[in-house]
Amino acid sequence: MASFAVPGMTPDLQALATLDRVIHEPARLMIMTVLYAIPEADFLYLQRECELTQGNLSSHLAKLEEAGYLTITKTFKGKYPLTICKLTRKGRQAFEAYSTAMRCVTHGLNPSKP
Amino acid sequence: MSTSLTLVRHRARLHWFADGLPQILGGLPAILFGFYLASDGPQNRSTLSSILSISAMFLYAALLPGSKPLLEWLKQRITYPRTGYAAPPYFTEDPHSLNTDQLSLMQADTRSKDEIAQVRHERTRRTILLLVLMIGYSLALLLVRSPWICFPVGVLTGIAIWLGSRKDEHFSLWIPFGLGLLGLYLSQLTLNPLERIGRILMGIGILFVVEGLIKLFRFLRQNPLPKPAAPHQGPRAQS
Repeated sequence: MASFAVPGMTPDLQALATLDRVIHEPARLMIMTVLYAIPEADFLYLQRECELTQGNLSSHLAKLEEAGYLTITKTFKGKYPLTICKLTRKGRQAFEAYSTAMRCVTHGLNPSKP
Repeated sequence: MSTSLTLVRHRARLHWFADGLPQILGGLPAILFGFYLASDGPQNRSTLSSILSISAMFLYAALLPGSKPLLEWLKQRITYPRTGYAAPPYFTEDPHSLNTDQLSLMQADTRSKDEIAQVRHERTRRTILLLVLMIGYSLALLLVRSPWICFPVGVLTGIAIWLGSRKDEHFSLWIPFGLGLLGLYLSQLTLNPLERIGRILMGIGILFVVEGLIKLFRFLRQNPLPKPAAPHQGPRAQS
């Protein structure tokens, strides 16, 4: 988790500074959201849901796996090879921490005001 | 956040029903059991009719417990290669469908747990309501002698099925419409009560199967198999 807090910042802004940058990237956030909501999904399903290219999805999955947020298992369902992705406990906790931090920062935000 | 999670779960649920296979496999046992009931009483049966109805009963008995593995087998060949695999989220209601680790991970999240409990409660309520209605309709068909009873039973069964399953499977409106027409048709015939129940069951089964086949046809047309020339998917294959 890449984080840095600057002394003298307001607590809300400090929460922004400590956001998990592995999850913060939009494509990875989409992947984490899908995998948080459902127990497991394969590569093709994630690709279709997140509308990412194969290469793009592969690299993001590799980064999330490297961070220990998900596990990738190659398996077979009948003759069809499946690349099953699942969030780990660490991944679920990281996603929950990220969503809490974002809610904390954006709490009271009124989108209708300029 | 929870709204988007709910939407993701909803999409995964729709993904499970998008290919029409659950409807086809749900309709087949109804046809077989309906066929068995709709056959004349044993004293009036010809040899062929007896063989057919007993075969239907055997097929029904074989299909009912085996429908989940059969569905999974069909999805492995038809659905997963085209649109991918996603664990049906609300199958977490069934502790046997997920391993302990997955289940504990899902249940560790309070929001998921609450949502699953809510869906489970809603589904149980709908199932009980549907069962009560079905028993009521069957009793009406058994006890009321007038053939016209078939018409309201057909219409109400159709409405009950449509209302009861619209959140899960998105049946089209022609299921209640078709059952209404079936009821109207049956009300013109002189049938014994068991025959009425059997034919209505067969009608329900046929409508489900036809609906499922239409969905399957659309699904196959909209989702052709990916070209085999593409490199194998997966992060390790890419690196």
